[in-house]
Amino acid sequence: MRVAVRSTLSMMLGLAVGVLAVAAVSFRWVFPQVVPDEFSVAIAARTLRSPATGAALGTGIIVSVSVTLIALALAWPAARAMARTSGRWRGIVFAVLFLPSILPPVGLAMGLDVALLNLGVDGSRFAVILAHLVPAVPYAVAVLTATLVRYDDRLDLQAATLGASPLQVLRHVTLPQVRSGVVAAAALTFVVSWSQYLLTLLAGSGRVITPTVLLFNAASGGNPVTTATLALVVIVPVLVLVSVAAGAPDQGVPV
Amino acid sequence: MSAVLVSGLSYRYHPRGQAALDDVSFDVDGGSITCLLGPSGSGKSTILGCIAGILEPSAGQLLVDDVDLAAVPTHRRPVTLLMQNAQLFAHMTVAENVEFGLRVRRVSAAQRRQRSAELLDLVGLNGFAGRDPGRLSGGEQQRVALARALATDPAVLLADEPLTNLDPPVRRELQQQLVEINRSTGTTILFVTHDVEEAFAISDQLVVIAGGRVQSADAPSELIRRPGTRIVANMLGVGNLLVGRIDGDCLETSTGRFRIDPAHALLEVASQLVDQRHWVIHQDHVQLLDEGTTPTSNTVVGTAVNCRLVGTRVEVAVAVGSDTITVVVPSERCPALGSNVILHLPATHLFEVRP
Repeated sequence: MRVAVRSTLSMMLGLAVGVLAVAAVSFRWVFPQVVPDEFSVAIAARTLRSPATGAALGTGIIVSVSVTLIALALAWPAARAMARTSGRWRGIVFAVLFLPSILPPVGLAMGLDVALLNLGVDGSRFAVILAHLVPAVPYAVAVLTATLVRYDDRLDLQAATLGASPLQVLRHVTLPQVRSGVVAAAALTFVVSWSQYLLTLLAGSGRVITPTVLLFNAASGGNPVTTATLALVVIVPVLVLVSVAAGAPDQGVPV
Repeated sequence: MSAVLVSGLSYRYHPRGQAALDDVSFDVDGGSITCLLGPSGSGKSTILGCIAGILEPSAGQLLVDDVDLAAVPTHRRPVTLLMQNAQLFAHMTVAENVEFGLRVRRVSAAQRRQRSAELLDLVGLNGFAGRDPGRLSGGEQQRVALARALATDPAVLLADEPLTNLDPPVRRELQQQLVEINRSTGTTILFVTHDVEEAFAISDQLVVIAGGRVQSADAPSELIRRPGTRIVANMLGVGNLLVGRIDGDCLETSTGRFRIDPAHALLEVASQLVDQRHWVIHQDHVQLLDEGTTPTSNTVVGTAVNCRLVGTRVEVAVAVGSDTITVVVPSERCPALGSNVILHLPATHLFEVRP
């Protein structure tokens, strides 16, 4: 059953990426033609070589990697505490954590923008990173908590009684044992940040351009080939990350 | 010299809850194996947790080799903890597990390898260095955990029921191995168990814990002879309890009148003639006299009501009046059920216990 679902999802994803890839190298592809009249890589190559695309990619990576690292650092102690609390309290804390995510995006983005304006950091990468942390941290906490609930804390105590400092315990014992959960949390957090449009636009005051912002601009400009090319630019890093996260094994079951 | 000194130790899991440990004091001789014996929930593992630095005592003092542990963080304490489950690190090989304590102390790789080879040899796991710990048997995993715990030459090895989950043959083998390691390395071992047989098999000294308090502490042979309290007598399986009044050098009970050794009486109660006192005698010390023996001093006549095979011997329950006295005899001397038997309770083995 699980294999069938996974295969179906992979096929659908492959189909979508395939259509985007064909669209990115099409020259004239209008309804109701099943395949384009002509193919050309010229527009796609120009879009990829454009300084704007390169700058957006750089900015997007810096912002999303920063968000990922900060979100994991914030989420780790929270998740450790959550993993030790009872189910009822865990549910309440999760509900509070995810409240921003169920608010209408425009309301959340406007509210955050006002807050960042008041702080005087609006329009900078720092502002965008702060804004992205709001939706990203809850996901990091959720994934890490789900991982740490299954982790046997006595391994940490055992390591400490063998002479390992708290940092050595984290590095040599805890992290290797929960590697897959940390990789999954990192991948999800990166994707949440990478895919933010409205928050990036408002918090960055239009001056911080990421690939997602470029993609939305191209889509509203009505150029399907550029849009398809930029869509691939946005999607490919996500696919790579998801593949890495899915393939990351834990370093063994505690014995 | 005491390797461990526990003085007035108290601990509460919840600030307003019942004390898990209440004014616990005892000491552990250097180079000995001392067993903390007690039922589940008696607080014995809590004592180890406090010494290891996992739990913070609410009161009391802990000294290891005369060093006060109060301000020493867990990872700097001169002790290692061997847990009930081996708690091996699954992402490391057997050798890497053994070397862990040395690695975090930044000992060179060559020295680590040499030490882990020595220790794996000591615990009988030669050739296991590169193995995945997840593929070892329970006994092998505990051996690796033991080697890992010994790698840093701790002043005291704290063992928290490490053999409980093992099959009896493996368990006996590891008990023997632990004693041999103690004798060959001189490592002081503080061993927690709820198993009386195990405690007697390995310990030089027994500290009996119940209800978060020390009930008795002495050498096993001495404790079994004079348990001190009824709780300890029950825990050690000293089956014969007599209740009665002291009249001179005799104990007047419903079972009979027994001469006692006054040196075995607790002296703090002066009103001996009126108080009901509790006395015990271990079933091994009760003698089944041959049929036809003339009853003399400290003998009672009763009826054999039950026989239970214990190894190669038989535990015989003898009804004497309203009481039952247990005696252990070789299986060939087991009396017929319902037959009359004569028991001798030597005064030198009758000991008073606190209620």
